Amino acid sequence: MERLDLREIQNAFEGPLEQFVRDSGVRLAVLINRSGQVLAQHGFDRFYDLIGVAALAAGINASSRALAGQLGEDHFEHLHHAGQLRQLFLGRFDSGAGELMLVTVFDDSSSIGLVRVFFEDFARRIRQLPAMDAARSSVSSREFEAELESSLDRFFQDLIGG
Amino acid sequence: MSLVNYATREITCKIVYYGPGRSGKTTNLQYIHSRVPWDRKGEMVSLATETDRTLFFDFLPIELGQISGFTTRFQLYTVPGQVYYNATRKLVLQGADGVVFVADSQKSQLEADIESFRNLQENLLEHGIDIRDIPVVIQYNKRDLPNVLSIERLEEELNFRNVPSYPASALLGEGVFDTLRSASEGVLRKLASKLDVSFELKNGERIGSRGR
Repeated sequence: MERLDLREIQNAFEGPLEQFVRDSGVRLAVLINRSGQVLAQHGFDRFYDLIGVAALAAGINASSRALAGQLGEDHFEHLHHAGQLRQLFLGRFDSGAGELMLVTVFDDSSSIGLVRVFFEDFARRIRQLPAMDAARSSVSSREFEAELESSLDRFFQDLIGG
Repeated sequence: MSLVNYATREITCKIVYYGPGRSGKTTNLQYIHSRVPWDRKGEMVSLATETDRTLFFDFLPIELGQISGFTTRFQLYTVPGQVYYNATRKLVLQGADGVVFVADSQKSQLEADIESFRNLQENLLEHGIDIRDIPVVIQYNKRDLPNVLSIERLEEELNFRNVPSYPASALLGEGVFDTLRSASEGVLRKLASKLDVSFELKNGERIGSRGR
């Protein structure tokens, strides 16, 4: 099982994301990993809207990569979908934290050209973050495991009983 | 890939419901969605064909609650069961922390169950995962139908690794939460065994501060 722990790097992601939003004028932006998990976000009010978007974007990214493979490419750089009022831009890049994707939504207060320019800038900032390595954490696995069974009992009693 | 966020004290894990076409994977998620309180679930997203067969995946995020001060969330996915969609099945499996294999108990579906289980092993291997290294739970679904195989026979054919298994009638909700509970426990136990390790910056330089 792979695992990504974010305490130290979360703030590091948020800074460049806020900078990207200011520079490019986009409305919504979310940085996700390959599994569709959210690393940083701007503009989403509802948590569950956010993770729905993230899951769908990860699916688009995964199918796009598979299509690229069938065409002899490693991946496609960007995806851009334009609607009547809003546009969606998905840009992937490699980083010290693995393959990441920036998903962003913008309207006529920005443009695809602007978004692409500042996406490159954003990706460069993330790549410049120091590499990560494994280290000890003070979270106790024993304590977690001890609570696990009773917590699950409680959750599922609530669900089944409720 | 499970995600442990020490800053916001959140754990997010991915469980994939796998199995042959029409075995009841989407029905499991629909039942879960119908029973989980609104404030502990998101919208269920279904990417389906015009005949309601899963095309890419169904997705349902749910929150279990707190364990050791961590808000624990699961992202539940289904794969398309039809043989034709193996490429997308493989994509959905990517990053899975645990798998629920939903078998169809009907006699006529045994070959499809076996083929799908074999396909699961192959697709996991393509992601570099040995099926013995990932929590797997088997659900023998459609127990309410006539002409089903005995649990013993199904165990013999599918459960040679002796993983947790549950009879179910997902349409009626029977066995759905037993299965999910078991898969959640397997995933979180595996996560707990690695919980003492986190990432820090290679050169000792830190961004942000460690609160604990």
